[in-house]
Amino acid sequence: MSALAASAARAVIWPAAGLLVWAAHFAGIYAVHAHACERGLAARSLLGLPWVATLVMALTALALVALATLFALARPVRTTFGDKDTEPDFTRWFGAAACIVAGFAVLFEAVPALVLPACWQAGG
Amino acid sequence: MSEASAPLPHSLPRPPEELGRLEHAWAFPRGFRVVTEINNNLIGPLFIATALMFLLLAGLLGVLIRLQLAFPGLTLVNADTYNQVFTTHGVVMMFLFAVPVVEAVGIALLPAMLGAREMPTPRLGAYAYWIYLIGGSAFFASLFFGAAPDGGWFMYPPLTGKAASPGINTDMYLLGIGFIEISAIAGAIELITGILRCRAPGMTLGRMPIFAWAMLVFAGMVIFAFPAVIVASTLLEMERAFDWPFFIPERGGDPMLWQHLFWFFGHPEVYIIFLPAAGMVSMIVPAMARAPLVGHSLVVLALVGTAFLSFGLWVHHMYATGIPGLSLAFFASAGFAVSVPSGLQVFAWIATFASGKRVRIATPTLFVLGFLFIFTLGGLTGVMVSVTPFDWQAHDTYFIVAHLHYVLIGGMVFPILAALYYWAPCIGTPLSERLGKWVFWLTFLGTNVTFFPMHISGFLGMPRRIYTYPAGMGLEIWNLVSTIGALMVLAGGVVLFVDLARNFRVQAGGDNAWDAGTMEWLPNYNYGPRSLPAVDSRYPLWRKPNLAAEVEAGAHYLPGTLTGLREGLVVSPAEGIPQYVAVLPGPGWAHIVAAIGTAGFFLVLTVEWLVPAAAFAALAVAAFLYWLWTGTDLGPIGEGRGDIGGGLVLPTYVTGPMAVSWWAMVGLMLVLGTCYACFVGSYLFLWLVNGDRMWPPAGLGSPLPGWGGLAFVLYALAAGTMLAASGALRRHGALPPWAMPLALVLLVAGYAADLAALLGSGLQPTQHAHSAITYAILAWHGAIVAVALLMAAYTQARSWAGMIDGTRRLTFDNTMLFWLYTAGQGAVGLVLLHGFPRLL
Repeated sequence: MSALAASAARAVIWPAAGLLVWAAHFAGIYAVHAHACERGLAARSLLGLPWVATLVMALTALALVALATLFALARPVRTTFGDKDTEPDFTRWFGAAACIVAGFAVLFEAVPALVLPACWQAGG
Repeated sequence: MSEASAPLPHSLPRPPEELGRLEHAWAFPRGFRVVTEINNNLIGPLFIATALMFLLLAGLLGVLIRLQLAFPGLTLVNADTYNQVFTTHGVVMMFLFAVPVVEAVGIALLPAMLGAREMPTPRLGAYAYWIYLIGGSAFFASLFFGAAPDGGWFMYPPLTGKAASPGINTDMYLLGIGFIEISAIAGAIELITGILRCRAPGMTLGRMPIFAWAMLVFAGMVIFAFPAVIVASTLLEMERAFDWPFFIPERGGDPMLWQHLFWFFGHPEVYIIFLPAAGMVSMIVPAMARAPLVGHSLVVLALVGTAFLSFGLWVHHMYATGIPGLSLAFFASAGFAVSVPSGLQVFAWIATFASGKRVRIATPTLFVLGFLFIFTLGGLTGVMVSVTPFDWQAHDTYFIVAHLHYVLIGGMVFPILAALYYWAPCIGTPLSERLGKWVFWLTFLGTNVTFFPMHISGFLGMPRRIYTYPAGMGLEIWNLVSTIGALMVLAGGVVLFVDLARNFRVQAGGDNAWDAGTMEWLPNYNYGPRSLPAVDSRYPLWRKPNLAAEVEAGAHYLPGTLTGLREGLVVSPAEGIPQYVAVLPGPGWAHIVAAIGTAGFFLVLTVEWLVPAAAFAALAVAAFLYWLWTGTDLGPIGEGRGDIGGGLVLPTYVTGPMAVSWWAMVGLMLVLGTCYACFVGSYLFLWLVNGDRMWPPAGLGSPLPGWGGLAFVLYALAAGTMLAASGALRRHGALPPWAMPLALVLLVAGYAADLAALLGSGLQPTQHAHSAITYAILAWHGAIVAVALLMAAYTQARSWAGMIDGTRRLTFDNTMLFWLYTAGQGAVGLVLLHGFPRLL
C-alpha cells in the first residue's frame, strides 16, 4: 500500500468502519422485519425460534463480531483516551472508540426484537 | 501553553520582491470585473450575505404567517396564498438559508482556519455561489407570480401529484430546488477535498479544529443525504410530466416511497444544519472561556457518531403511516441513541465554560448560552416525539411546529448569530457589542414568546398548516402571544441588519480580537496567510505566541509563489505531510455563465419551454468545457517543482490519486453512486409492496436477456479499452488514436443494447410501477453515459491539441475514473433489472 493510500485509509476508513457496521446492521434488521411483514412471515419459525427475532439476533451477533474484530485491529498500542493528536494514534483511537459506540447502538436497537412481537400494528 | 519554537522553515528577512509576486498573483480584478473573482475571501462573505438575505426574506414570510394567525378568522391572505407562503417560508429557510449559510461560513473561514491559502477548487465554490444566488432569487420571485410551491416543504404525493396539483407550483419545487441541491453538493465536494487535503503542514486529523471536523461531517452527510431528495424529485417530476406511476397505487406505485426517500434526506438534514453550528460553538466556547475544549476527541467522535446515527432516524417522521410497531421501535431506539452524542457535546461546552479562569461575557457568549437553553428544550421535546405513542397524539399539530423551531432556531440560528459576532473581526470590522446585546435579547425572548405557546396550542389540537381557525376553542390567546413574539424577533432582525449595515466592512489582516488559539486569527489576505504555518497542536496561537509574527514575516512554508500563479499546498489526509504545490485557478467568467445556463435550464423547464431550456443547457455545457479547457490540468510549469522551505522540494503537478481533482471526482462518484443506490432502493421497495407475483405483474414482460448479456459484455469491453489506453499512455507517453473512439463506440453500443433489451420486451413506462422504475433506472444511467461520452470526447480533443502525454495526464485519469464508474453502474443495473425478477 502506498503512503498516500495508507494515509487515506487512516483518514477515511478507520474513523468510519465501526459506524458502517452499525449502518449495515440497522439496514439489515429493518429489511428483515419489513420483508417479514410484507410477505406474511411474522408467525414463521426458524430453528424452532421466531423467524424475525432469530434473524435479528443473528445479524446482531454478526455485527458484534465484526466490531470486536475492528476494535482489535484499531486498538492503539498505548492506552490513550483520545488525548494523542499525532498519527496514527488519533485515528486508531478513533476507530476503536467508534466500534464501542457502534456496539452499544447495535445492541440498543436490536433489543426491541426480543420484547415486541413482529409485525404488530397500532390498533391491530 | 507556550513553548520555545522549533527551527523555522525559512530564514528572515525574506527577499523584498517575494511578497510583491505573491500579491500580484492573488490580486483581485478591478472595477466591475471583481465579480469574476473566485477567491474564498470574496465569495465567502458574499455567500454569507446572500444567505442572510434569504433569512430575512423567509423571516418576513414567517411574520406574515403569524400576522394571519394573530386572531381567528383573519383574511390578510387567502388560503391558496397562505399555502404558498408557509411552503416558501420552509423551503427557503431549509434550502436557501440553513444549508448555504454553513457552507458559506466554511468557505469563508476554513482555508484560514486550516492554515491554507485557498480551497482546492475555488471555481467550483464560486459556481456553487452563483447558481445559488441566481436560482434562489428566481425561486423566491415565483411567490409574486402565484407560482411558488404550495404542498409544504416536504411535498407529499398524492397531494403533489398531477391530479391534485395540476399547476406549475409543484414543478417549481421539484426543478427549482433540485438545482439548488447541485449547489450544495458542489460545495460539499469542495469542502471534503479542501479539509482532507489542504491543511497546514503538521496539522494531523487529531489537531484539526472542531469546526473543520464539523464541516467535514456536514459535507459527507450532504453527499449521502441529498441524493435521496434528488431521486425523489426526479421520480415525482417524471410522474407528473410523463405519467410514470411511481406513487399511484392503482398502477403499483406507493406514496410511501416518497416519504422514505424524502425523510432519508430530511432527517439527516436536521443534523446537516445542526452539526456545523455545533462546530462553531465548539470554536467560540474555548475562546470565550480562555481554555481548551474539554473532551476534544470525544466531541469529534460525537460529531461523526451523530452523523451516522442520524441516517437511522428517518421513520421518525412517519410514525403515523401504519409502519409495524417493531420497525418503529428500531427507529425510536436510534432516536434515543442519537441524543447521547448530542448531549455529550452540550456537557463538553458546559465543562469548558466551567474550566475557564474568567469567562468573557460578550455577545457571542450570550448567543451560545441562548443556544444551549433553546436547543436543549428543543432536544427534550425531540425525545418526547421520538416516543411513538406520544408522537401519534402530537403528530401534525402545533406541538411539532414548536419543537422543530426550537431545534432549528436554537440549534442553528443562534450559533450562526454567535458566529457572526465572533468572527466578524476575523474577516472584517467588528460588529457593535451594544447592538449585539439588543439583537440577542430581542431574538432570545422573541423566540421563546413565539414558540413556547405553540406547545400548548398543539396540545389543544391546533393542526399545522391551517390558514385560520375558529374562535372559542381556546386558541386565541396562544396565537396572539405567538404573533407578539414573532414581532419581537423581527425587531431583533432589524437591529441585526442595522448593525451589519452600519458597522461591518470586509477587510484583510484583522486582529486576534478574542485572543483565540486557532489559525483563522492569523493576519489573512487575498492569498491567506503570508506563509503557511507549521502546526504541532490544536491551539497553535496559544502554544506559540510568536506564530503570527513568524507567519507574517514569511518564515514558514511557501512564503511566495513558485510558478507566479496562485498556489496552494496539498498535504496527506491523515498526517498533514506536504505532498505537492497545486496551481489554483484565477478569476474568469466561465463559472458565472455556467451558473446562468444551469439555473436557466431548470427554471425554464418548469414552464415547459423546451427550446429555451435546451439553449440554456448548451450554454452551461459550453461554459463548463471552456472552464475546464482553460483553467485545469495546466501540466508542469517551469521546473515542475520548487522549494517550499525547511528543505522540502515538492512537485507543482501530479496526477492520479495524489491530485485533489481526483479526490473531487471520487466525491462526485460517491454522489452518483448514492443516487443510483436510491434508485435501486426504490426498485426494491416497489417490489416489496407489490408482491413477488406482481414483479412484473401478469401480462408484462421482462427485459430481453440476450440484449442484456450483450450490453454487459460491451460495458466490460468499454471499461477494458479505457484501461488499455491508460497502460499505453504510461508506456508510450501518448494516447493511442484508436483508444477513445473505440471506447466511445463500445459504451454507446452497450447502452443501445441495454435500451433494446427493454424496448424489445414491450414494456411501457406508463403501465405499472415495475416498468416505470425500470425505465427510470435506465434513463438515469443514460444521463450518466451521456456525461461520460462528453468527457471522453473532451479528453480526445485535449489529446489532439497536444495537452495529454505521459506526464500531463490528469484529464485522462479523471475521465478514466468516471468511465469505469459508468461501466460498473451499467453492469449493476443489468444484474438488477434482468436478474432480480427472474430470481423471484
